[in-house]
Formats: sequence, C-alpha cells, structure tokens
Amino acid sequence: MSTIKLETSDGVKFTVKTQVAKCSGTIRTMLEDIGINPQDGEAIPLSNVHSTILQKILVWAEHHVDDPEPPRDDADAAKRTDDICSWDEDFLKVDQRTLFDVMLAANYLDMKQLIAVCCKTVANMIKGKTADQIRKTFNIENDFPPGDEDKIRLRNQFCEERR
Amino acid sequence: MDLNLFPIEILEEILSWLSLNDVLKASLVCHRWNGAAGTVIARKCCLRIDNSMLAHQEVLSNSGRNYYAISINAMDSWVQLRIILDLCAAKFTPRKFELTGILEDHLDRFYQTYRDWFAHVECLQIELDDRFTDYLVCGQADYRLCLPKLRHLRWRECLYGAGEKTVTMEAPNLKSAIVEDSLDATAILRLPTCDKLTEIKSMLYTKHFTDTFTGTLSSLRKLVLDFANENYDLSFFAQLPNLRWLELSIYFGEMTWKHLQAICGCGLLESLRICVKDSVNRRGALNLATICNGLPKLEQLELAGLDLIFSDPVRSENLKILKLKDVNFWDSECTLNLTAPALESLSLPVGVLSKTFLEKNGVSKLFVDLGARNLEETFKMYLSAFLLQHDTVRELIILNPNYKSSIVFNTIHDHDFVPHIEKLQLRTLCVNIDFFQQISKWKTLKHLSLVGCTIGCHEAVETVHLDNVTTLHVDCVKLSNSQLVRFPITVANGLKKWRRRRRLLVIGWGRRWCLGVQI
Repeated sequence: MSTIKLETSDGVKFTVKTQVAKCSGTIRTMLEDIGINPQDGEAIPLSNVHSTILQKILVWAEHHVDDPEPPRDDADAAKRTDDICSWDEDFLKVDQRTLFDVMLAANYLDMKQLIAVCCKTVANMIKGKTADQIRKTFNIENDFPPGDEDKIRLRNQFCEERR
Repeated sequence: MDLNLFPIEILEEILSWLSLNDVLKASLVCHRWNGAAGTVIARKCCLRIDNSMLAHQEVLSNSGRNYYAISINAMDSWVQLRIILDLCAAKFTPRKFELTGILEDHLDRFYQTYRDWFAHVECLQIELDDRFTDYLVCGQADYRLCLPKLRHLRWRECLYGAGEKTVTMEAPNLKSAIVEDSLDATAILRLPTCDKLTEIKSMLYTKHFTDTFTGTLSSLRKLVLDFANENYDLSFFAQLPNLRWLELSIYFGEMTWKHLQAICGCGLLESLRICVKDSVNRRGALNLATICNGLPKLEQLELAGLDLIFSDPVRSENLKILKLKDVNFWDSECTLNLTAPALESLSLPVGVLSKTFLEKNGVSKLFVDLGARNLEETFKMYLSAFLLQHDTVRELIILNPNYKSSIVFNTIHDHDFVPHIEKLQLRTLCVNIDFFQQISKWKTLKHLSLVGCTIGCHEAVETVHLDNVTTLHVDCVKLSNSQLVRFPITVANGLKKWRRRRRLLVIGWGRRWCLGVQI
C-alpha cells in the first residue's frame, strides 16, 4: 500500500496511507492535478496545520476512509443535526479550542464531511439559545449600538416560523 | 481561538444547520453573525424570480419549501412573470417582497393582481428605476395600496423622467421606514397614517419630508435625515413630540436661527448629530450654548463641519458623549468652557484642544483627530497640556481620518511627560517604531490597540518590549518592512488578540510570522 509524507506547521512529519490522505481535497488536488510525486520521499507541507490537530484529523480520516460518497446536497431536504454517528460524537467531545482548530484545519484541508460534522456539532451548541447565551458560549462581544438589535429583529421577522 | 476568526462561509455553514427561528436569534449576536444569518435566511426562504424560471417550472412546483420572501427584478415581461407568480400564489404566502427595477405602474398592476398577498405582507422593499425600464402607462395618476400588516418599508427611487404619479400606502401598522427620493419631484410616495412609526430614515433630493409623511408622527423616536437640496424646511419638528434621536446631514452650512429653534423644539432629544457635508465652501455657525440649553436631556452630541460660537459658558447636565469633528471656533480668541458633570467621552480635533476647558468633569475617554498635524506637534503643543489639566482621562484614541500610506512616519522624541493613560488606541496612522519606545515609559499603560496602522521599521530594528502592557490588539496592521519575521512589539505576558488575519497576509502573515508572535 502506498504511503505519503505530510509535514505540519511545527515541522513534524507524518507517514500516511495515500488513500487516507486523499480524504483531504487539498491533498488530493496536489497529488492528482498538480502532479506532486510523493514517491521521491519529499513531504507535502501543510503550513496551516499543527501536528496535534493533524494527528486527530488522521484518526478521523482513518475511520471514515471507506465511507461512501455523500449524497448531493439537496437544499430542499430538511437539514438534520441529530444524525451525527456516535463515533463522531465521541471524537468531537473535546474543548471548544480543539474543536475550532480541527474545523479550521478541515477547512484548509478541504474535508467536506468532517467540516459538516463539526458544523453540526457547533450548530447543536447554538440550538435553542438566545443571542446572549450564544455570546456567552462562544465569548463573542456584542458590537451592536443600542437599538440596532430591535431593527434587525423587525427586519427579519418575516421569516419567523409561527405555529 | 475565536469563532469569529473563521471564514464567513464556515459560519454560514454552521447556521445553515439551524432552524429559521434559531437563525433569527443568531442574527442578534453581533455584526458578523448578522451578515452570515442574512445569507442563510436568503438561501433558506427567499425566492428570486426571473424569466429563466419559466423553463424550470416543475422545480418550483415540486419544491416542498415555504418561501417567506419573493424578490423580483423588472416586471416588463408580465405575461411570463404571471405564470410563475400564479404558481407561487397557489403554494405559499410570502411576508416580504423585494421589487426592483420597476415603475409605479408595475407596482400597481402587481398589487391589483395579487391583492391577497399584500394583505399579508410585513416587509416591503421597493426600488423604482426608470433608467432601463420601458414606460408602462396605465393612465391613472394616483395609486392606493392597502397594506394592513406592513411593518417595515424601504422605498428607493431612481427616477429622472416626469413620473407624475402618487402612490399612497395605507399602512397603519408601519413601524420603520427608509425612504430615498429622487430627481423626479413629481413622483410622490404618501404615507397618510404614520402614528405607529418609531423610526424613519430618509434621504431627500427634491421633495419635502412632509410630502411623504403626511400623517401625525406621534410615536416617532428616531429620525435620520439627509438633505441634498438647499431649501429644506424643519418646521415639522414641532410635530414630533417623542423624538429622542436625531441625525441631520445637510449640504450647506446655512444653519439659520429658525432651524436651530426647530431642533430645540424637540425637548426630549437624547442624541443629536448635525453634519455639514459641503463644509469647504459654506460652513454654518452654531451656538453650542443654545443647543445645550434648549435640549436639557441631551446625552450625545455630535457636530461636524461647522463653526461654533460661544456667547456664554456652556452647561449640560446629562451630556455623556461629545464629538466635535472638523469644527472651528468662530472667534479664534474665544475658548470653550464646558460644564458637563456626566461627560465620559470627548472627541476633538487637535486644533481646539488648547482652547477647551472642562469644568467639574470626569471625562475618561478622549478621541483626538490629528487632522494635518503630526504626533510630535500634537503631543508637544496640545495634548500634554490638555492631559495635565484633565487628569481623569484613562483612554486615549488617536486617529487620522485622512490617512494615506505615503505620509511620513510619526513619532515623538524624548518626551518627559508621562500621562496616566491605561488604554491607548492608534487608528489609521503611520507610526514609527520609535514611538513605542517612548510609550514604554508610560507606566500605567495596560492595553495597546493598533487598528489600520502602518508601523515604520527598518532592517536592524530592535523589538520594542512594553513591560506593563497586558493586551495588544492588532487589526489590519502593516509593517513598512515586509521582510520582518517577528512582530516588532512584544508585551508583558504575551496576551494578544489578532483579527482579520487575511488582511495581515499582505504583510507576510504566515507560518514564520505566527511563530514570531506566539509566546
């Protein structure tokens, strides 16, 4: 089985099965389209990913390497966030910082499935919360001048789901 | 790691997994989230109709989605449009319409055909435009629209021809309105029932405010007015008993006594902003004492592009924020003696710093607009003296709105004066690294913030270490020397906040740089 080498931002080198590495759209493109030849032993630099995060991401990719292609995104289908598989759920039971780091790295590596599952996890953290609770959860500053919140509420009210 | 450092697409992706009601709550978190929520809302429940949909009717008829908003650009091909609209009418009841590139006649025809919809519409955005639209003549000159549930209206005109049409909207529940008129003075929007309106924003080129808002404005609390014509009339201010917030932009500085009286007639005003846009040619003169005496509840006052007259010492009991931008004192000899015990934040151009005296004040935040002056001159001639006299100032913000990257780099030289400043922010300035060397003597300084600045540093620059500073906030900062590996400023325990990394990329934000600043 062929392997390739990846080098993280802190200079750590990983040897990974090519098939696993190809879960990343970024690496796949490098290998297939640009034609980087990993056989000559040179590592692919991933300058935006730290080794601890890549380690984690590789565990995920290893587990999901045989997953079938996801169905095409159907905008009309009701989006569910309660269908995260239990393995992923355990995998993402980490502190916020790590979760965000994984997400940012997944974005850089272009791993759609991992991004989706991270986004669902964050969405579940937001669900049912008021704006103030969301701010507290993610430590976000309220940068609206007084009165602006009412204005936004009024303008967006049209799409409220009413029973 | 901050969620707001993520690319906006990720935030949109997160929000797209939520129900609309959750997205609505998320839109109230902060500006960035509101932007992302807007995109998600548009994607989830807004339908953009154009003629190309004719070929894909089945997509629409098979859709299980409930669209709350419909947006249509141009209604010239009405027959085709109707096929799609009929399909929509059978499936859902929108609460919002966005109609652009239409004329009054199109609007009326649409209203007459789909009256049921208009009985439910809560939010209406209309942009009339006669530049690309064929005239549609229906003969009538007056249109009447009945909109019982309308709460928010945005009306924009871009009309050059003689429309000679009046659109009257009966909207008894309207709460907020944005109205921009155009060069066509004959096309008039009329809102006869305004008593629930709390907020109006209006830009007027040719018409008068009272042409549109003909009813009583008894609930109006906030009014933002932008006059582009010279003959504006403010006498209707007398009919605004509940106004708390007024923003007024005028092109010419002719502030007559009559206008001033009209403003002072709104005795409950808490916030007032007057901005003269064409301040180069004709500046107006305004007596600050008249404003402060006439508006005893005033908490925020902002004046821009005006000359100020002081006949007496100025006193204001409730004033918390005073912003004077691009102002001169009418008589170069006179000084501003201000008694404002509640004053917290003061914003002044450098030039008037030496002529401003605050009595019994606790002002803690000072914004200084450099104008054409440099830092050296500002500190030596104006700022040091002011800060000595007003020793309650803890937060100093120095900005230069006319910032150009070609300006020489600012610095201050051996300066003995050490102010009691805890927070210092430099905005849109070119600052030499030597300046920070001087600042390292300010023992009370805890927070340093650099926004939109360029820091001048040469090859052999030594890193400046600010021992007392605990937080350094860097936002859109450039270094004149792009070869630098490390950020040239370090602080006490390395606590830093970086924002908008993508802009920093320009100056070599990358792995090496990251390493340089991580402590």
